[in-house]
Parts: sequence; C-alpha cells; structure tokens
Amino acid sequence: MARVIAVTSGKGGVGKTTTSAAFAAGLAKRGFKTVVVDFDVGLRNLDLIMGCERRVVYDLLNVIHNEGSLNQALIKDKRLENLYILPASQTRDKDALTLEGVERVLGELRERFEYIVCDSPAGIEKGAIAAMYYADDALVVTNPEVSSVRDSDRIVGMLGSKTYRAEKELEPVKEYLVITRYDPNRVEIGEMLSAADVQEILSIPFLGVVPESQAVLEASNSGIPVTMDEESDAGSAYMDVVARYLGEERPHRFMQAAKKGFFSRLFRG
Amino acid sequence: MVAYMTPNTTFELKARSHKVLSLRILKGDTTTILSRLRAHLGEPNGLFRDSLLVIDLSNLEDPHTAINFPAVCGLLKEYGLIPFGLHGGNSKHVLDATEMGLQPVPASLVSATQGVAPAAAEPVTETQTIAATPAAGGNEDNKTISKTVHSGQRIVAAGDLTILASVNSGAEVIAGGSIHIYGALRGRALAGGSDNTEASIFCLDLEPELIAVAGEYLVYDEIDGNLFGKTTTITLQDGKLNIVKLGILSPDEKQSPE
Ligand SMILES: Nc1ncnc2c1ncn2[C@@H]1O[C@H](COP(=O)(O)OP(=O)(O)OP(=O)(O)O)[C@@H](O)[C@H]1O
Ligand SMILES: [Mg+2]
Repeated sequence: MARVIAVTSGKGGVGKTTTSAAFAAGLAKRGFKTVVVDFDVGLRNLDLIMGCERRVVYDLLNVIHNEGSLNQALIKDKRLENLYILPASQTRDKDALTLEGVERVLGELRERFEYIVCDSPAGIEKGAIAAMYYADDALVVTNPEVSSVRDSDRIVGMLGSKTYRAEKELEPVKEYLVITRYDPNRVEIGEMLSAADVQEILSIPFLGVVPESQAVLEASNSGIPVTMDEESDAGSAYMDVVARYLGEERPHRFMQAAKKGFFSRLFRG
Repeated sequence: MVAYMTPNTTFELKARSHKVLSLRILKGDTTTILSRLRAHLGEPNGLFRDSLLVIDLSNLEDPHTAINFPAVCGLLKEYGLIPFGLHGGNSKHVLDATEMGLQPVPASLVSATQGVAPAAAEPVTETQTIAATPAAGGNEDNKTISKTVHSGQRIVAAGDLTILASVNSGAEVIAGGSIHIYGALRGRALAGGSDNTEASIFCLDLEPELIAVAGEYLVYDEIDGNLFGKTTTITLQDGKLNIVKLGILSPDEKQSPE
C-alpha cells in the first residue's frame, strides 16, 4: 500500500522543502518508488532544490484542472532511478487547489508510487490543509526554538482533527518529529531548546535531528537533495531519519556539543 | 411564628451569591477602550456568560472623558456579560448610563468585585473536538482526556476535567468543576466556570499562561516564579488564588537528553 507523507511545520522557513527533497531522495535511494509533490502554489521552490526548474512544463494545478496529464507533469529525476517530482504552479492562485482535485491526483499517484511526499507551504491555511488532508503519515519539521515548536504543536493538533483520517474516524495520521537546524553548542549555552525539550512538548515519535550545516546550502545552491551526498553531516542525518521512519534502529547522532579543550575554552572567552 | 407569614404563592425571594465583575475605566477614548478590551478578552468563549458587571468610572484620569456607553455595553454583551451598574462618573455619564439601563451603584458593590480576566495574547480561534470519555463513576459531565492538548485546541467540560498528559502553550482547558492535569500546564486552565468557588486546579508542572478559578485569575507574570516547574494545586481562598506547592513530587530536576 502506498503512503502519503505530509511534510509540514506551520512556521515558515524551518526546512520543509529541504526535508521533503532529502527524505524523498533518501527513500528512492533505499529502493522505493517515490514522488515528491510541491503544494506551495505561487512560491514553488522544490524544483530548484531538486535541480529540475528548467524542465517544468505542466504542474500539479494543470493536472488538477485536467489541463495536462499526470504523465506530462511528472518529472523524472536524472540521478535517482526511483525518484519523480510533481512541481507546483508559480502563477496560479492558491484557491485553485481544491480538495477534490488533490484527492484525485493523490489517488492516481498511489497507484504508481510507494511513497508520495507532500511538501507543504507555511501557515495553517488552505494550502497547508490541502497538503496534509489526505496524509497517512506526517513529518512535523521543527526548529529548536519556541515559536517553531508552538506552531508545530498547532499543526499536530490539526493533524488530529482537520484531516481525512480524523474526519472519517479512521486510524489517525502517524506523526513524526524531525528537528532541523540543530546546533548542540547553542543548546548547551541555552540559546536553543534541546531535542529532549522539543520531544517532551510535542510528544510525538522522534525521527532525529538534522544539524545546522553548510552542506544544506551548498546542496540547494546546486540543485541536489542533500541526501545524495551521504558523506555530509546533514545528508547522513537525513538518511538516518529515513531509516528510522522505515522502522530501523539507528543511534542518534549530531546531538552532542563538541568537546572543548581547556585552551580553546580559555581563548574563546 | 407570625400570623401573616403564610406560605407565599405570589413570589419567592431567594438569596443567591453571584459574582459581580467590575470594569474600571482609567483613561482613553472609546475606540481605544474597545480595542484594548477586545485584545484583553480574546474571542468570546462563554467564560463570562451571564456574569453581572459594574462599570466603574471612579478612577477616571480625566473625569470629563466622554464614554460611549452603547458601544462599551454592546461589546461586553458580546461576551455574555450583563452590565447593570455604574459607579462614579459625572452627571453626564450617569444620565447616559441610565439610558442604557445601568443603575448607579455604591462603592461597596464595586470593591467586592473582581476585574475581568485578560485573554492570552493569541486568542484561541477554533474549538476542536477531541474524543473524550466520561470519567468512571458515571458523571456524564466529567471528562478525561488521555492525549496532549495541543496549541489551538480547547477542551470544555461541564463537570471535572482530567488530562492524562500536558496542556501546551496556546491550548485552553475549561471546566465547570475542577481540573486535574497529570502533566505540564503550559497553556490556560480555567476551573469552576464563573462561580464555582470550590473548584481547584492540579498540575504536575506549573508553567501556565493563565490560571483561573471561578473567574479569579492570574497570568504568568503575576505568579511567584518559585512555583514554576513545580507540582501544585490552585484553589480560591478569600477571593484570591492560592497556589500551593506539593513538595516532594515536584519534578525539580528535569532529565537532560542522554
Ligand atoms: N539543516 C540546515 N542547515 C542549514 N541551513 C538549513 C538547514 N535546513 C534548512 N536550511 C536553510 O533554511 C532555509 C529554509 O529552508 P526551506 O526552504 O527548506 O524551508 P521551508 O520550511 O520549506 O520554507 P517555506 O516555509 O518558505 O516553504 C533555506 O535557506 C535552507 O537552505
Ligand atoms: Mg518550502
């Protein structure tokens, strides 16, 4: 059975698109037929991060409004065999994203893919609801700071009440916590919440932290999902997240502050 | 005992203690007062339904400030409040207020009253229903919630409310009776409706945005900082909230990761 995974956060700029691309590429690397769908109508970004912005002809809204077929809109990744992208429209209005249309397109995708990763726009309005409404699972992307945690908490509440599964009283959406842009050194000096604090507040299963990393910027500038570079810290952290999502046990990494020697402590003041 | 005290079928006169709220207006034009009030009270949530209220002008900074009574009363009524009295004010105020059906009331009625509880900076905008099971013991008015109450969610119980998890910042739990939280209280908890002074709040870890019993409230900033993070009960005593730390259970040392 295919699974629809919503990547959502409430707050903007916390790393949803980065996570969607990395997670989808990670699943594809693990051999699953995966598509990543951009729901951020008007602010599409995923195509840039995936490095396929010059190959977009039809988009999600064209498919919803029967102006093009799914086959025409799906873009096959050039690097990973199992990976496809369904881009968003940059020019249409969010209101064109109807729930009926989304349901039909996801239904067609479910027949062709094992995992359908939905990159949600920020906020709790129409676009975000459309991205989460038909989800089976949700990755709640959170930065270790108070406002992001508060917004994620709001989203967790909505996943339990404003989704198809909630409204039809089916098995609830499975929520998973991914903490991104984590910096253990800043946690240590109290500038950031710790992963334990965030977990305690949101109280949903924890898939891991992704460290604050230069590799993310480099990858997105060159249009490569960061998991394609498994050598990098962020890339390997995301591969761990994928593995834990698939039910495997992995020791948590990137959560310890770098041990500082006596002299470095002395000289850093 | 006296001959004419035969059973009365014409009327019954009963004493019923009722809380009277007071709105003390200090300064400002009506527009400012209205927008401040709205920000203060948040979304109408039934908390003040059928509560009596006195408008108190005795501390008006400029006693000649004009007050638009129809607008102010209109807003208060949106929240279910029943403005019935006016204290202080100049002759014009009294005249205008009388036209709105407000009676001049003595100071004794105002000093015994309480201020109107402010709402959280970010009002809860929607009510979400959460599956709740009537508590064992059969009282249908009681509710037990076994999952974390997340931001934006509001749980209302006519009787007692038991939460077997935490109430997060931006969430709100309201009960006509007492509220028991077997987790952290980080949001708002309002026990005892508007007049059940016997109600109490219990929580394992006190870090609230607002606590209230029978309309008497405290916001975070007004609470003794030593009580944060402690296991506490909150009751109403002599018209004031009394927060008691329950010593040995307090999760003083929170575990740090790994
Ligand atoms: N682990 C990380 N380390 C460093 N920078 C990161 C990390 N994750 C994300 N970023 C950066 O943060 C910014 C926002 O990321 P991204 O676009 O993925 O967020 P988003 O939640 O999709 O934003 P929006 O709400 O606007 O859609 C980008 O510049 C991205 O490169
Ligand atoms: Mg994005």
